[in-house]
Amino acid sequence: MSSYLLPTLSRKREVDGIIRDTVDKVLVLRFGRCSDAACLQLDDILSKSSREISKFATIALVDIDAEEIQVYVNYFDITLIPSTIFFFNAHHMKMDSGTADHTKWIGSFHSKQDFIDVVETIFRGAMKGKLIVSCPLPPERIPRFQLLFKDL
Amino acid sequence: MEPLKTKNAMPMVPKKKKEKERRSEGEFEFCEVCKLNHDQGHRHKYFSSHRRALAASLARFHKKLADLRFFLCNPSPLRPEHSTLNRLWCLFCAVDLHEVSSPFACSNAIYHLASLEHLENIKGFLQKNGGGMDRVDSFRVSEAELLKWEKGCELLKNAASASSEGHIGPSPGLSKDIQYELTSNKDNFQNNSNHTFSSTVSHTVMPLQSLTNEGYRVCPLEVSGTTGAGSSPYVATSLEGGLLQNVGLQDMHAMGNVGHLTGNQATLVGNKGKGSVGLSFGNREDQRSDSGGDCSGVLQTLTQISLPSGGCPANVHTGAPPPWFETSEEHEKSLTNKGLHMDKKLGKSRKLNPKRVGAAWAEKRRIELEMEKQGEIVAKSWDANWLPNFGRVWQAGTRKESRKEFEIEKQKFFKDENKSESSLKIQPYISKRMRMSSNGDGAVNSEENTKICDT
Repeated sequence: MSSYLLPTLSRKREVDGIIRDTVDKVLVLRFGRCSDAACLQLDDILSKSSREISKFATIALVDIDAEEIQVYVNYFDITLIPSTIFFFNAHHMKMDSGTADHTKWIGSFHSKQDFIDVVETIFRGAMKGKLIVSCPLPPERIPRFQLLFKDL
Repeated sequence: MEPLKTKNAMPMVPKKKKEKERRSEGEFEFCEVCKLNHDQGHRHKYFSSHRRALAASLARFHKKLADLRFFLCNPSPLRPEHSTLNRLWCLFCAVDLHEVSSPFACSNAIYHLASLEHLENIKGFLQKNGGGMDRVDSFRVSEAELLKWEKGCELLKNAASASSEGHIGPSPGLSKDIQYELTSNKDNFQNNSNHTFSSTVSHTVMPLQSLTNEGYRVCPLEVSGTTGAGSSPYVATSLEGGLLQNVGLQDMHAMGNVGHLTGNQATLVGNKGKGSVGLSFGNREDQRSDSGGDCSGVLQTLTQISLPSGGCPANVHTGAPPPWFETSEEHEKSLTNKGLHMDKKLGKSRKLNPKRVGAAWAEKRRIELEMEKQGEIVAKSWDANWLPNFGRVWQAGTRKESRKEFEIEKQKFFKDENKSESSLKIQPYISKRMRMSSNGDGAVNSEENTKICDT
């Protein structure tokens, strides 16, 4: 059950295209599975807030089960889903949210406003030339996970 | 001892004067030229700022007087619609001179400038503000000039009154008895002198002497003070055609008088076929002149401008838009197009921070996208192995290094996969004893092995 409002990408060419064609806007790529519960919850929040952030952000869903996407799964070190990665002008944007992985947002958001705040922070940081920004959310609203180094 | 009175009998006037000067120096007064309050007293008029302001204001007044002097030398009547434009502010008298109900252009202003009151005001102004008393005459109208202008106005009046009695343009509908009116007009021609004749001629149009059923030819002609035969060949030829019989002696005089016209155009209407001629004097509508159409009896040399040969161009009468309007529209369109184009290309980038993340890439990409939209370049197919700029989780150096590491890992992974595929081959287990015995009794041993396997 993919979202009817957000585009779902299943080919590397499509992912490359959307990364290259999104100019001066934050690109939010959600890597996940449309049947996963956490992904569904996150998809709901993303679809509801897509219009509000349309001026400065674009959202797309990436099917992690697609064969061509495995390159990105390895490249982006995606081990847990849903994983949300942010880009700006084809440059990866990191966010320090107090977790072990600054390269992506793992898990869902508590509310629509939390997601909007995160995207806004990333946009503001990108416009100032920063490649890494601080998460504006309080720690209690940030999902926790454990990151294992090469399954150790 | 000398009485103290003598000492005390010093004149009080200089002291008073000094006190007055001190008071005047201390008090503020308004300078009309500089438009400011100052406490400098009489010294103010020698200041450079005041001199500059005075020179500027006098120069402006001189310019206005130059226009006025034109009308002084060339008196012309003032139309009611132009009376509001004909205003003058007299700098010396601080009076606004209107020309609301005056018959001639700048008449009120001329009378004012020639008046004694104005002369006194000029002297007072220049004494107060400096500027040189030798320039008084340049700011007023002398009596001689005024008399000359008044004479010119009188002539205009007379000319206007005379012309108002005669015909102005063809008017066949007004009176049925054209023949008698024609003769009365000819009497006017004979009685008037040359210069008056020319002035009246400019407004009287003689009705046609004969019918012109066929097309007629208009021949504009400038007559220069010679006889009619020499200067107007058309007249000569057409007269020879035999129309003289219809035209009376009075007409002949009129024709002869044509030769005496100076600077006025006589248009001849000649009919080739019948040899008839109609004479009409006056300024025709299709004759254009640079000096304007409001001659009203004043002698003016009119030059004819040839119409463009490309048919009837679009003009005001046909309802076409003016040429500057079209060009401005085109110019605006081109400007707007250029502006839009520029805005699209550079507008956003101008507003956006040039130090933002990926600014250079964004600019390049934006231009590429626009060119692809316009079709100037074909969208190039990107490399399938292209990867975005990504900072990996376990990266140790820059993002480029992390990408290299990933590519190396990828290559290794593919190699390992190939190797593993090639090495895997499933074979049945053969013990050592079986192998040893197989060399000797190949068939018996194989049967035993199969039995063992089955059990």
